[in-house]
Amino acid sequence: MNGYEKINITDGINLMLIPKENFKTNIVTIYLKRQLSREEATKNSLLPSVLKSAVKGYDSPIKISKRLQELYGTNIGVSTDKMGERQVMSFRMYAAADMFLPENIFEDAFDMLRETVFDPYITESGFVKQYVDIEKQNLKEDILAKINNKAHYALERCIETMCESEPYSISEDGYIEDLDNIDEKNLFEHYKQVIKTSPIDIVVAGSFDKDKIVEAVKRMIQIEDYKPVQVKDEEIYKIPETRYVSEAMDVAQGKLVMGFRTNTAYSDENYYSLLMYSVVLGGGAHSKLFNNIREKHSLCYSIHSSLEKLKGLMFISAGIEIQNYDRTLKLINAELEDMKNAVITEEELSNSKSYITNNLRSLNDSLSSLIDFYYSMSLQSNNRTLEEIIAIINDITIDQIQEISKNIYLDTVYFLTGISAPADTI
Amino acid sequence: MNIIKNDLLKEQVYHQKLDNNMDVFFMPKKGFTKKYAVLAANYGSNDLEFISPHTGEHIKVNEGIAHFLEHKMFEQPDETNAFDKFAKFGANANAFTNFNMTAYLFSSTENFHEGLEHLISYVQEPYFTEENVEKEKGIIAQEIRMYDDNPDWKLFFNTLKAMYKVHANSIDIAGTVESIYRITKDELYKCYNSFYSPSNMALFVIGDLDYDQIMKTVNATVKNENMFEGEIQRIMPLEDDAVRMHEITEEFEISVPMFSIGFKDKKESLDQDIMTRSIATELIHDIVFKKGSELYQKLYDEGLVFGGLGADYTEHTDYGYSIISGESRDVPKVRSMIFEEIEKFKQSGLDQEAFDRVKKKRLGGFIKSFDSIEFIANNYLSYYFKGMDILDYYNALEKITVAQANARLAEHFDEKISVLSVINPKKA
Repeated sequence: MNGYEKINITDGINLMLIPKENFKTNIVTIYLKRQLSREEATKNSLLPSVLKSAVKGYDSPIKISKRLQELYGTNIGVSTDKMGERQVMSFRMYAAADMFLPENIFEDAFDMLRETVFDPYITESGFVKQYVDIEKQNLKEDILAKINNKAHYALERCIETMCESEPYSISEDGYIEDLDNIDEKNLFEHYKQVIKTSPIDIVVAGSFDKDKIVEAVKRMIQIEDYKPVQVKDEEIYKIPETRYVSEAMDVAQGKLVMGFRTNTAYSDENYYSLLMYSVVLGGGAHSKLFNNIREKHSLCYSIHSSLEKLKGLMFISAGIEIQNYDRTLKLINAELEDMKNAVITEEELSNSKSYITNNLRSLNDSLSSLIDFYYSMSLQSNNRTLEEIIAIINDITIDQIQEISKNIYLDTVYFLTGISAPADTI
Repeated sequence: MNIIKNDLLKEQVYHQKLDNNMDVFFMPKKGFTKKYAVLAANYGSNDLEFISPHTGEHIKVNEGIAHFLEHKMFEQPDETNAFDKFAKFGANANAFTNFNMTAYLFSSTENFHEGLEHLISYVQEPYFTEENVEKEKGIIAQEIRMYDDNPDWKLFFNTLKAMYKVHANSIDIAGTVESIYRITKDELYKCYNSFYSPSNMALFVIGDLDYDQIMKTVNATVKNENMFEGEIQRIMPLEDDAVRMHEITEEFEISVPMFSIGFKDKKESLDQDIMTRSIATELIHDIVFKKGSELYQKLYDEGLVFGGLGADYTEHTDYGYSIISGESRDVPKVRSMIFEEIEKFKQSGLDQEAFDRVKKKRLGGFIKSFDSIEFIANNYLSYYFKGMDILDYYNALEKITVAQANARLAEHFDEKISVLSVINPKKA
């Protein structure tokens, strides 16, 4: 079984159906895809939260909330994310399935989602000024609040440094200095442009009537002068010189992030060798980093490696005592050396395969993860099914992992250190 | 064996008490790929003083020991790590400790019975040496330091510190770097022998599986060692109806002040039915503080709170508290608006229409939560240890009246036993 069905509604608009009868929730997500650019980043970041403040039938947040409560606690969540060098606005609805409720709500819930994206409440000047102002303030606070989560802050700083002159360094949250020039008028103009030119994907998962959904989506998407602009794929190939950067903040624990270029595209079959590389190295409690840096040397509690698959990056993150920086880095480098020299046991290989296979199969049990997974695959036209991927993974050899390690280059080592430690010691 | 059915959810739970007093639960989930099991001890960071069920000895232990013990359970007598075997089975394993429960869990799509056997075996086979206990101290110290950098965690624990004078709720789950360095191998065994008895544990299994086969695996694996009759006597200092301090403030490298207002349950409130107490409080939160409330709208319109107001109720047999939290540049103003709103509702009473609406919201939320097998299993046991069956939630929700909620509103939201915790940005 394929797991999903893709229906092309019109050029630029796709509907993806994931039928799952054993769930008690229906989830519908609408994605609007934009090229990540400095000019648009802040507006795109702001737009979804303005849209969810007032829709045609319910012109204030409190009216929307009360309506959603009536719909048995249907939630509509919005966000703007960076996926590779795309900025994606998403609008997701979670509704309890009709068969468990005293009354049917799916169509009404779906209509609330439709209004959120395609039918905003507007005034003569565009969006409601009050809500635009409030959401501008909220966004500003969100951007300022990035320092609150130190580990995430360190990762973001590493990316900014590493991809300095590439679109990938642009923040999906936008920039405070842009906010003064955004108002209810120009944001509404931007919105119209977004609807007219963005590739749109709608993903429906759960138990639903397919014909009804297709019809509802066709009705929903009647966009005048719709001319979708396709987004470009990322530039992923680069052989960097390693840079070492440190910044000081008042932290109890140092946050180490190492950023790598993998020179491997998500749509390549090689990508799965890279995935195996990352999992053998630092994916969970069976990995080299966990067993050596944490268990053997007691240097940290959390340490792992992860991939940014669309941009071909890999990161290793760890929280360590500030004075242990040199020692930790040396030990991590030794593990990287082992990867390069194929010092990998059969057991590490088979554990990593089982780990990935189990995670992939488990996607079937979470509608929202499944939606995210299929959507991110579609971004670079990777059309493999879960079972096809599992078959590729199971055939990967230690030689292939060694081969892929030749593509991996350490680009940036970022360390968020304490204010008392002199930065030049590292 | 008995079967607990729920017609609304179209789910059922099989329950069996073993001869060694361990409770075993199973919920079939047709069509799910993943299978999940959690084996939990009715034992958490709050259990710092108790009488040994075996020797009658009165034992007092170091703070953070339940969590330390959780880390150490992964050591195997053959010097390997319990994770290793799970990795071989392609299973994902983990564990967690909270105030009242320690849970060991795994999920897998294949080799489930091998995994279940391993779960039961390793949790029933402690292997603590002086060396491996020492080694863990550095790792746990880094875990504590990680939380030291987390302002949300600080805000939450400061609220509890201000709220509780003698109760262990005010003590961090992981303890402190100082307290964990005092922990010894012998102390760990003492806790293990008392609390990791089958008579103080429960297992929950969920997935597309067969009951008889599960029981076969369980019966072939489980040991009776350390079993006892009755319950462990825990020595919990009882709080009176006052707080340690009304206000607690700390500075942190953050951008906007964060606040949390806590309301501590009075002694007599703890005698109420725990499920009713919990649901009534949640419904009040929905009507008075959360999204869709007038207060929430006012705070949003005036830009006084960023990212909304949160409201949570935490219940247990010997404590309960509400926490209302958010981020604001004018905490005193928000605080007084919150208290004015509570007063207003105390005068006017909760409105029947709003009450019915938030009940619908809670019902939908309850139904949706049954899509997550991890949520079901973990919460089933957590409810069970508190004397509740989570499947009763729906009936209790249906039954609760606006009059009951009004009574709860009047007694729980009392300014006299409230606290304010604030984390302020560090001044440059």
